[in-house]
Amino acid sequence: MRLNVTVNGRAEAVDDVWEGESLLYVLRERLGLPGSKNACEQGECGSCTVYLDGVPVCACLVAAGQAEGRAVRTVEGLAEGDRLDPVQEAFVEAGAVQCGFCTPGLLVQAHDLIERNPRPSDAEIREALAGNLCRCTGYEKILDAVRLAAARKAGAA
Amino acid sequence: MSVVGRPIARVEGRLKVTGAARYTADLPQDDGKDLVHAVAVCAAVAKGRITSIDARQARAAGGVLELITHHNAPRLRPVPAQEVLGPAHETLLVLQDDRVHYSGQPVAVVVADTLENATHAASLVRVEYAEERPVATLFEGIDDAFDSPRYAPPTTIGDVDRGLADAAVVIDRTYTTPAQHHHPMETMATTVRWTADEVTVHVSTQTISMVRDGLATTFGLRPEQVRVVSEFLGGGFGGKAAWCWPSVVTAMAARLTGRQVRLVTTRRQMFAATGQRPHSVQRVRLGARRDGVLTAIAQDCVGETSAFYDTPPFYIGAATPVPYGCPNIRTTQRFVKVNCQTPVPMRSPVEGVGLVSVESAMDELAAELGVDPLELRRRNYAERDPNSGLPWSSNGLLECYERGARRFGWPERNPEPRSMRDGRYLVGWGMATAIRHAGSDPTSALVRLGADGRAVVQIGSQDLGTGTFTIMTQVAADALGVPVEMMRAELGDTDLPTGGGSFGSHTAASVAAAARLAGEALRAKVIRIAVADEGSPLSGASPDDVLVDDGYLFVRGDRSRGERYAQILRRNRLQSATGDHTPPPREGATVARWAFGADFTEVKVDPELGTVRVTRHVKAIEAGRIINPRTARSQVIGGVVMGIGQALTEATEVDRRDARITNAGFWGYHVPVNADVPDIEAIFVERDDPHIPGSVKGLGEIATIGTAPAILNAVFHATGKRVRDLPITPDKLL
Amino acid sequence: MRSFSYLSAPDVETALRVIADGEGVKFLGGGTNLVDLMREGIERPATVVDITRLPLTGIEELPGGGVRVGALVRNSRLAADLLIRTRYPVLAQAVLHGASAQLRNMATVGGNLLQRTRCLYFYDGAAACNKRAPGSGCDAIGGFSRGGAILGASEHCVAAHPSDMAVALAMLDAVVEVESVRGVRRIPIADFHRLPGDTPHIETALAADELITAVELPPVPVAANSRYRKVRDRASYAFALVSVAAALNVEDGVVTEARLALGGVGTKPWRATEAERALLGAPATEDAFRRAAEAELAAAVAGPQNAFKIELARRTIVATLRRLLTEGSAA
Repeated sequence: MRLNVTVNGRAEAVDDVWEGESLLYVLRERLGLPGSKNACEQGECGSCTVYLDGVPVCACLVAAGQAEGRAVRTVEGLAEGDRLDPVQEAFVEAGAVQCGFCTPGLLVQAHDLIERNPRPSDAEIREALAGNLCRCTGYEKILDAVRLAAARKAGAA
Repeated sequence: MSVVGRPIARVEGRLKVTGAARYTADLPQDDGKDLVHAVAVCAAVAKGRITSIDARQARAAGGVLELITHHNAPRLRPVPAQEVLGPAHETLLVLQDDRVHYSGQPVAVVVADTLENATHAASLVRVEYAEERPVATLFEGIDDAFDSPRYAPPTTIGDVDRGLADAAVVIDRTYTTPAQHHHPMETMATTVRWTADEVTVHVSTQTISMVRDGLATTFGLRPEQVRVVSEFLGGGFGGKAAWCWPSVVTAMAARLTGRQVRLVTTRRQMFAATGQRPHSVQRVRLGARRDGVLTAIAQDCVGETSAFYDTPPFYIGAATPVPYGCPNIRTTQRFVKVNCQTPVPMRSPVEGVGLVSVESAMDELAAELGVDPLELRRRNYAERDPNSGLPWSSNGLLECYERGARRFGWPERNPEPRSMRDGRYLVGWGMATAIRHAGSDPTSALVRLGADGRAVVQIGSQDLGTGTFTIMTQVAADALGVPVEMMRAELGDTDLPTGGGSFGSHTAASVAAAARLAGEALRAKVIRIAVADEGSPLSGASPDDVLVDDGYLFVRGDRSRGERYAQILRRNRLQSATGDHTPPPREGATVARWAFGADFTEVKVDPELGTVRVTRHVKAIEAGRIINPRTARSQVIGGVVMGIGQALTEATEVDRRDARITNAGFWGYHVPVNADVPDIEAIFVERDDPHIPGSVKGLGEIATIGTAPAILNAVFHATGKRVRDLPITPDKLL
Repeated sequence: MRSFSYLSAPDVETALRVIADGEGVKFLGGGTNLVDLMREGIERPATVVDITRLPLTGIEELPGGGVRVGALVRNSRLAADLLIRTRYPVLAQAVLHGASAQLRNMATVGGNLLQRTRCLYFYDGAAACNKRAPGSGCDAIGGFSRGGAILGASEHCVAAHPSDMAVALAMLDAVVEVESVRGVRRIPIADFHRLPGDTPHIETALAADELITAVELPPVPVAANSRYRKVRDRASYAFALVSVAAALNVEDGVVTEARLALGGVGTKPWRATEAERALLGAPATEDAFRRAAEAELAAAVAGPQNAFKIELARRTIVATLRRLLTEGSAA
């Protein structure tokens, strides 16, 4: 099939897509956007989290056909040009990044959390990010980063 | 101003938060449409012979280029024993004959034009086996346990039998720890291009030099013919330290097809791709006087090793003689051949496993004696290393105890089990000692300075994600005397000066030492050039009188007489210098080099449902000097959380009938999630250590050692029930 | 993944016609379970019909106090819906205890009802499993069966039902509305999921040509005081060892109405009717709660590895009822 999908604001028409491919596969292997990571391919780790029509999902479990006509936003689309989103800035500053493999998925999920809930409690952050496994950081600094980003966004608003 | 010791943000942070960092599986293909994909077919039985492989359907499937089995695989040359190449010995088995030794062993490899096609074709390969009864766990084979005098010689200090006989109190307990898998978020990925002259490997590895040497050995090449690159690595924890089958078969596929081949293991395959932490049974006997002073420590361990390899992987009791000053110590280990992969290190194969029992037994002894667990440890503080008899190179353990306890509020602890409550939850406080040998590897660095005043430091090491890029940058910038923004780090390429493996907590010490030597050498070199350069304000000065600050070189006492590196370099071209770090030899050592720590933890247990949550954790660490508190703190917190997993959630479960792993996915193997994690505080007790370059002892493993036993002890304190079988899942507390 | 043909259904009629005419047709909703199972080679549909564009996404109040939930309502939206949260707090809580935020954003109500077991042997293509390969046997029996069911199992299957949402629906007497070219049927939730018996591969009463279109929640006033409690191996994002959905009315210290359903322990979402019977008219005391739990669990059968579930279920039932009594339904 030809897959028509808007990715990070750009309309893409991808030819020869097999409907059984995952959206993650399309992003990584066909569109040259390897920021979203494949770490389990079973929806069990959150490393492939992307926005699909404004809602974070595990791209590994979205069949390519399901993305037809929809809008996708990945980690590559969070910054505006050279200006990092406050969530991205906060992850660097708080030391929330180590190996960085879970980071793209976490950023999208954290970005969505703050959009929906500008002042999340610690318990809300922990539960909202429970679907994003991280093996390096121990999550503590990720929590700091989300708090920091939320505070900055609230301050800027 | 010095940047070493400052918490600068990680230098590659921006690349990682924008998705621009390229991991092995992300790399664009070299050229055109040359890249093809390999997928492994793995054995469905744990022991037996392959009787037939029906690959007709698979070969006929779309896009298939090659199908490799033991019938057509390149013959491999055996890798010499572990002391040469670490845990790389499995390579001699990969697709070489019809024997199956563990479930998940690769039995065929499909190469196709796309990953989807390769995956599909792999699912069409039909393999028949003549199955034999496997040894599923060490319990099934414990009657055949054997000693290994060469690799795990018993340690004997003093007379343990006498020490036990003389003791007022003897604790005799047996603990079991499960097999665990590392599960870095990035699975094992390899890309190989094999041309007539050269093999280029992109791989997620903790040791590029080992991959180079392993590939060269197994395929009969000279190491210079192999280039290995690993720039960004998605974690490892010991699981990417070996020359392992996913990389071996990728190289085979590249050689047979003449294409650039990529293989990325699935998460399920990660349960039999890069080894595991071995299942163990540990019997500990402690003898003590009434006042708690130890008279004997005896530890007898049984660990699993693979069914096909005679060299046991490691000796989990090797560090047991170290933490406490006791005149009589004996440790032994036996091994059981099990139909599993050969165990490999996982974030401290020795201390992280073998001290679980010792630290729990110490807690049991404290309870028996009515002595505070921390006080018991203080009373047994070792003034010298009991194992070697040598003085410590430095030792901040007592300060770790003190500061950790104070921060945690340990003195408020009511010693009585089940005495502390928070509503309906039982509250428990536990602690443990952590120790970890501090070492480094031979490492070379090169620092180069350009006419723009910018510098680069290169080391053929790897960054697991811990912050190697960043600390290299800091150390080299300081050594050269330039602002940190002017220094850039390169690593992860065997074309760079040779570095060691990123394991054993050696990386920071190794790269820091080499980067410092290279930076200082380059500074001296440029100074020599400047003082001899008539065009320089420094001309004629004594090199010893030239100082460098922020990239500006000047004569001592006259800051106006000087110029910047960039100005000197513009007249004198690009300059570089190397530095070679050689670790002190272990033989003939005059001091014992160790890092120390103390874990203090609080758990809340629901007494009705058996659920345990860690609610607070303080870890004090003495690892010499900390190069970057920000990356270090994150690494330590991550280590604590891995310890929470070890204590409460993680175990690789095997079906004892057929030796197959049953919970082979993240839905069945539970690593801690965000919601499991409490407030964790890391305290660094810093020490100068004149015997260690830069006083860098390493953090990777001490970060997690001590956490699991502290939690075990806290659960006992909360509930009065002693669980000696990890992990403590709710069923064990009902 | 095996090749299949793919169609995005523009309307319900098309979807029903395709499934009526075809062999091996599967509807694709959120995909969080089906896509995974297809990749594992466990589901091998010949045709996949994407139904996510069908207009089955409403949550409507029904005359008489019930609520009708479209089959394609996403789990996250269901849990956030004010009507659901106030009338059926147990349902909102159950949904939020399942999976992760990302998965709930994709997973649909209809798909959740059809979620397949997480039995380790069902997922392991090399193992014998009567659900996956009818007649091949059950390796879970006698194997590593810590997660296995203790209620409703047969000698052919001990796989526990994985859903949290369906446990709440069982407690609420939900009705599953299904449609085919033959017409519309309404299946009470109690009849929707089947016990394994000697056909464990047939998991529901849904016919091969039927589409779930909606779930109707009847008015259940007692549900305003309801709770979901889940015990699992980690704090979040894990399948239940035991879960309990409960609702309770107490007047003058006596239970006047009680509803109870269990997850993680049954081969289907387990309505605890024996326990309910024992509770009715009993004093609202710890003792009575325990006796009710024991009445339900008298039929439990366990192996050595999942025997703990009997005790854990008993305790979780008591703990949930006690909490309802003292704290009400607040999450």
